[in-house]
Amino acid sequence: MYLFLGEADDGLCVNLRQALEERGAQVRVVPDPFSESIRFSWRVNSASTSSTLVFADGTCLCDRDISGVFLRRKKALITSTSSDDYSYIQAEIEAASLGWIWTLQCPVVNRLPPWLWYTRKPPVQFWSRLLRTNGLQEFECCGPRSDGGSKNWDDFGALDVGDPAICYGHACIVGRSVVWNIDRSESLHPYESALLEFTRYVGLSFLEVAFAETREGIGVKEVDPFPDLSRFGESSTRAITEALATLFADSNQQSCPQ
Amino acid sequence: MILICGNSFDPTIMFLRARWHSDRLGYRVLDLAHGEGVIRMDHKGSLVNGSITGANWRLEAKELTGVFFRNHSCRPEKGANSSYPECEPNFAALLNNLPCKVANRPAAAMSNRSKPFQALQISKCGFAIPETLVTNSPEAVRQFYEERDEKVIIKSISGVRSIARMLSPQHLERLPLLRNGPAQFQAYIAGDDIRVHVVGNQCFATRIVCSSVDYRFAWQEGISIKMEPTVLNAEVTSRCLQLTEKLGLTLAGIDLKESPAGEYYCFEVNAAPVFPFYERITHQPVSKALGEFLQQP
Repeated sequence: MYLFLGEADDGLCVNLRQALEERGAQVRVVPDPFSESIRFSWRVNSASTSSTLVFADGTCLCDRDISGVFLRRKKALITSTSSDDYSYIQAEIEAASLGWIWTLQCPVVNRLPPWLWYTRKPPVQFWSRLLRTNGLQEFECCGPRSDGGSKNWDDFGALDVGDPAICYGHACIVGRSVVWNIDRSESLHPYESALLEFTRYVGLSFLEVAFAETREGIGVKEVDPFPDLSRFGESSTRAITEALATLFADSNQQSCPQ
Repeated sequence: MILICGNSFDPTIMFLRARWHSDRLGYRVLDLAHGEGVIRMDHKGSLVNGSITGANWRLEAKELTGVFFRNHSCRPEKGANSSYPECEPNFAALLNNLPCKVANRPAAAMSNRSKPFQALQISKCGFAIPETLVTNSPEAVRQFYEERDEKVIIKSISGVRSIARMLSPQHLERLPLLRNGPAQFQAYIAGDDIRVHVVGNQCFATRIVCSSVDYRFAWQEGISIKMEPTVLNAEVTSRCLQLTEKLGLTLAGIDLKESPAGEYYCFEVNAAPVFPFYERITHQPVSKALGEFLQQP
């Protein structure tokens, strides 16, 4: 059984569910594993870890029953209206979810590290050292002034260069595949191996990277571990879905004892 | 030169300033809580060739040897619906990428927001962790409670409201409230608490003798608390250093418990430890070590 942590009507969840079910797999979409309708128990000690989810229909899933987890949303959806302490419950659910996905032996797309889990939308500067390590460069964030830009502290959070007119293209990396939202031009070809290395280096397997043109060439404008498929056309979306289904299937095949 | 980033009225920052002033360590304070300061970056958004200007000082990036960052007591990010004081993402990115020492980089500090995540890292470093249950099921808690001879601790899973309490019959009556969200339950471990402050590659261990389940709040129960410096054996010291490095931290407050059998349990690693609480009583030179660590290029 594959677990999707997200919404049943999310376009990618719908497509990937279909692709996995065509391969004979079962899929369950769970908006929140800690909702009132699911009994979640997770035990951990120095030597072992085990979890159990019991759904309202009586279905019981242990760790070994979960073939893979597809994470489409990191923020908890709190359905309870009886509590007046939303942010505390949110923090508890997020902390439990993060810990839990790190104990599962099955493939998790993406198994986010804490810094990504807890940063609402990391600006590209968050990734700059990791990008440079892997042969990519981030888009200049302070405009075209080579002598440097000043920022008053109060304006600092608003630092943004988002000029949609100069966005060059979006790449979606899925495992060892790169899917573009445009016909790949020769100028983008050299970036594919760097994108694959970068994705592997940060420990993820599903990532969207937006490129923009800079004075020095093409730079990364945005990195998003929750790709937005509305930026990709129909054929690209199909390719991404297939690549994800293959990624899950291949990961499980590799982890099966021969 | 060291840069302190945080709320200048935060008690830990005020303590550090007083100690570093008397130790004649050079530092500047960038008050994040009151919107003070101008940061000048190079055209790549990096501080490597930039500068920071405060109320009546200016610090070139190349003069910077280390940064002490403490986000507590700072305003939450605009529009954030979070229990944590959020740092401006661009500033966090800057600290994450600075080539000098930072205690601690915001990215590394976030592991403390999930105790179960940290527990996995802790056990990989050779420490024991208590038998733990994370659940929203009242039945699972009752079973755990009986298995552990009714000696169970309830505590938060996240870094919010992190107070440990012994699970009581009164708590059991409230278990149906778990439908609102999960909680964490742990087997009670007897023994002395030991707080280890790691600064770079130095460890300062403090033994706490107290009958309260959570010694930090013993005064609220009228219970006395005794703190004294202690020496850890080489293996435990090595595990503390390894754990701090594994989490990407340069400053850590590690919570240990030494069981009567001599086994060391580790509960969590605080990325923003309140070391003055211990230093005021034990006089262990944590703040001095931190200053010297951040002053060294």
